[in-house]
Amino acid sequence: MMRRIKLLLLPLLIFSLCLMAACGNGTAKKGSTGSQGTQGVTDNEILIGHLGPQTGPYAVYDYFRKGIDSHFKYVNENGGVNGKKLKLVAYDDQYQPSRTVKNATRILQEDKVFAMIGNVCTPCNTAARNTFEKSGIPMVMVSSGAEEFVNPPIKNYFGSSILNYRVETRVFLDYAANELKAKKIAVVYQNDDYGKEGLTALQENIDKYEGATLVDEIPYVAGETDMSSQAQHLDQADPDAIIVLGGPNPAANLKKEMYKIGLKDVPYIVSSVGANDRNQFKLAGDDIWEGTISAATFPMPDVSDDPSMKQYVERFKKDYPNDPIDGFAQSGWAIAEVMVEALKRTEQGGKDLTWENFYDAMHTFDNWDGSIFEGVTFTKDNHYGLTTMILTEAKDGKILPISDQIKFDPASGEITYED
Amino acid sequence: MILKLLENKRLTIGLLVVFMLIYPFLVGNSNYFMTLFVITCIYAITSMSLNLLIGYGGQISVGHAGFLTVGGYSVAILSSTVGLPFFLALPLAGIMTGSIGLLIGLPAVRLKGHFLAVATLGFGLSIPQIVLNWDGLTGGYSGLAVTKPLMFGSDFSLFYVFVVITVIITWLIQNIVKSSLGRAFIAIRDSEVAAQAIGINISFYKTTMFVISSFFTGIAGGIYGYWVGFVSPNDFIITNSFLVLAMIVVGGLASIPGSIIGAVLFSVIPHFTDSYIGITNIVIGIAVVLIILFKPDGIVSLFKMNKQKLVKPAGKGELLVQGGEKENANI
Amino acid sequence: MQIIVSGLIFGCIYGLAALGLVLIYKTTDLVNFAQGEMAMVTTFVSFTFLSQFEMGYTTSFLLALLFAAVFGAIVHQGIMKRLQSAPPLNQLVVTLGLFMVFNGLAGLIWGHKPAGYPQAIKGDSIKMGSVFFTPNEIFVMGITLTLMLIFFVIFRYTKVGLAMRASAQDIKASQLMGIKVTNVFTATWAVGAILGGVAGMMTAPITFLDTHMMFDVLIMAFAAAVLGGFLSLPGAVVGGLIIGVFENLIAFYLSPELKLVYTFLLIIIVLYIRPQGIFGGTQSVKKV
Repeated sequence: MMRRIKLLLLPLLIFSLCLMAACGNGTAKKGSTGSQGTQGVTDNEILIGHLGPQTGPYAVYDYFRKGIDSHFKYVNENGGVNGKKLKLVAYDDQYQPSRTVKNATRILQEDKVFAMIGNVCTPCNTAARNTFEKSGIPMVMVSSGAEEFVNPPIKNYFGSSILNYRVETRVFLDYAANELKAKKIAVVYQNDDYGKEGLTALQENIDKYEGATLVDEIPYVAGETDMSSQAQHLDQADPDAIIVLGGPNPAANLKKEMYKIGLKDVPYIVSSVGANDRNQFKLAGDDIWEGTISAATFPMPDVSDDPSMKQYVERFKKDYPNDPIDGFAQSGWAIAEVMVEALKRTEQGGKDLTWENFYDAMHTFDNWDGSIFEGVTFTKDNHYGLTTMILTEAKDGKILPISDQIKFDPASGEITYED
Repeated sequence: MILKLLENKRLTIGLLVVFMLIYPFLVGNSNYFMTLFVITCIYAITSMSLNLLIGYGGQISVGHAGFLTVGGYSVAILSSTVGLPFFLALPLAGIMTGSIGLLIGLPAVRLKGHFLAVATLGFGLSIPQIVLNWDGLTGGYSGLAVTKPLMFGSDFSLFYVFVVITVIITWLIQNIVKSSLGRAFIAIRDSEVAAQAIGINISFYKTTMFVISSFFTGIAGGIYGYWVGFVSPNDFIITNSFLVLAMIVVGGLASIPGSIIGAVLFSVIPHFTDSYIGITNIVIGIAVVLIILFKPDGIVSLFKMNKQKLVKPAGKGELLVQGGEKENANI
Repeated sequence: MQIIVSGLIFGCIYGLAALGLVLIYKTTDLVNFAQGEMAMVTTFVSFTFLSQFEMGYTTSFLLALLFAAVFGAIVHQGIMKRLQSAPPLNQLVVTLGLFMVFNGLAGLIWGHKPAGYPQAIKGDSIKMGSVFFTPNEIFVMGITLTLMLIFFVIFRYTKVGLAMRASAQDIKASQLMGIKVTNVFTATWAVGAILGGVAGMMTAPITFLDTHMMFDVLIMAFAAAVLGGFLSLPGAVVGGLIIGVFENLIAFYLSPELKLVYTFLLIIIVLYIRPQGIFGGTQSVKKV
């Protein structure tokens, strides 16, 4: 018995040695550790944190980080933010909440970053919310369109980098019922946060459109590669329009399957996460993806005349020559632009870079169009951030805007089209 | 030199106790390092339970993360929905997981090797799907909050509670292994026929093994739930099961200290690699390959000063291959 | 009907992936969890030939298979050979380690963005009765059955097959009989990797090409192989077909969200009734 216990000690000793080594490093590196709300800022550096999957099945979301990283490099090379360089601290959580919570305390209390930007993965964000919310660290545009982070507003959470799932789906429903005059609407949804939030919005709002019904609600599991049974269900339901709430691969796969069994002409509306990428033409096939309708918070790089977008394309190609410019990297760049603007606004008028001042600065964004995004808005009661969007259609290998700005008003729940 | 010092039992136990007690102060009361320690404890308990099943019992399971999820959700439901206090909810979570283990264990009695591996693999894969779909009970994708126990106001005191629980579980498992139960397991692992011949009820013991193993793993899952305060379907997935499997082989089969070494190693590696992009899994994978190539009996064999004490792991052909089956193989 | 046909296609993919697993297991007594990742790497290599060097499909296909053979041989010579007499669990965990390494390296090299991968045979779907087929699907079915038959024949009726079977049974005795066991094993790994590569290149057009595309396929292939008895090549394909069809039926009639759960339930029930798998031989009690 005693001998055994002795053996137990060895791992513990190793562990403690490792930790001591780690602590040593940690304390040596730590920057300023001033009073509450000013951590992570020194005279020449601001630390910004990001958590997301860099490996594993969801590693495609790592493009958020790459976009952020690229913009930070760009800003640093052009003088930084009021002379301070931005430094991105990022850890890999493999899309697993159990890893996120560990890294959340680490980034908050060991690295002591000033703010977090674009954290990926809804359940991971939920798991870490307790830690981040209590600390009061500014959370700039998490990469999840889930309702809980924006409504009701949380003091230190500011918006999402992707369209709010519910808002987006309501716009789709509006478009299908009013513009396409669809009566029978079918929805295919991923049975997680991507799909179910939007599904709720559909179910709550379908009655507002006279004659419109949800003829079928078809689920699939995230990561599904065989969409043939979903296509069969659609065939039987014979809808006037199909709304797909899910990621890029299933959206492409489903349309391929539909095409195969002859369902070629039904309007196909896909959530922005699953459609804002010209790669979809390659996945599904050029003919097949043609005509897909979606929403976006900014036009695609090739059809955009936004100066920010030009900057992005130029810079991202330089930093990551092997990576495609479409997809989440643009959003990463865009939220980094919002972050930089907010930091600048915080320090305007000689104010200190503190969390309270940062919140105030965030609240001054009023349909700000200085980033890739069409417009960014924050007020004390509105923490959605992205309430301005456009509709897009896939045409001839391009994803073209087919509407002007569409605005959602969180207070009244109204959708307004601008002409 | 250090190894010599460790021969002194009292000194080492003293060191151990002191280390556990001062750990939070060593790391400056840092929440991160305490979380890291607790997660290590969770994996240590899981790998010890799995080692009980595989190393001592010769029954493979590649779905142990499923039990962690069940434990975590049990705690969430019992504490938040039912409102049970900590000291009731945690053991109950173990019992609930244990009963699931019984369900798995019953058919598993008939299966061996790969066939058992597939059955448990199916379990490990299915649990997250079931949790995701059973909205009413589990809250679906949005997960469940766990009410933190009020009697331990801070994470600081909770930390000590979990450390104590881990030590108790280690002690319990150690004793199970040395008890008649443990000897029966080993007898079954080494030869089912011989075990049966000396009157060991094989089905009973095999099922018991599954129940015990899942009971402790369920408690580990419960610890996770309480520490984090939130559980969700993606917390423990099939890759975590694979990782635990790697922990026990790398640490040392049929060895309690081995399980702990493995758990510590693979919980600490990410600490050093997470800040480099995309290399954590590569480093872990390389470590697995190299350690097994050069230390086939696991890291623990490095420390075997009095080797006669350790129960030898099963030899070739015992664990995964259905012996004697090849002759009648159908091609 | 369409549901069943779609199921058969996926079943073929699982079966194809399972063939490589079973082949390696039959000969070397080892479940290769890295099989799927090796297939994924092979597919990426073929994609590099296709897109970067702009070679034709057939050329890329064959070159990738050549790569697969070398890759498989290297993995065996470099690593697995040293573990030939280690406990099976050690071998299995090493392949899990390799799985993580290959997957991680592929992510670093090729990134994580899914890419479209061309089908072997292009063409629109053809309608037969009420069922739609694409020419590529027919090709996939054909290649699965052909490969299964080829290896079945090799195993049973050729000298090479005999050597493989002998090595599997008793390494020492085979060596005494003049069989170069290590070479046989290396060759098996090469062939196993080739089979995996074919499976990968057939899978990629359906699941799209990315670093985790083979993960689910491998798990289903493993289940298929076990369902078929793990020692039988036709068993692996039949197991794959059963799983594919069953999965699709469940997805259509019951619940697409829980199809994985029901599928494994079916497997467990089948195994409970026949613990040695559908095509497994009669089970004998382990020797004392």
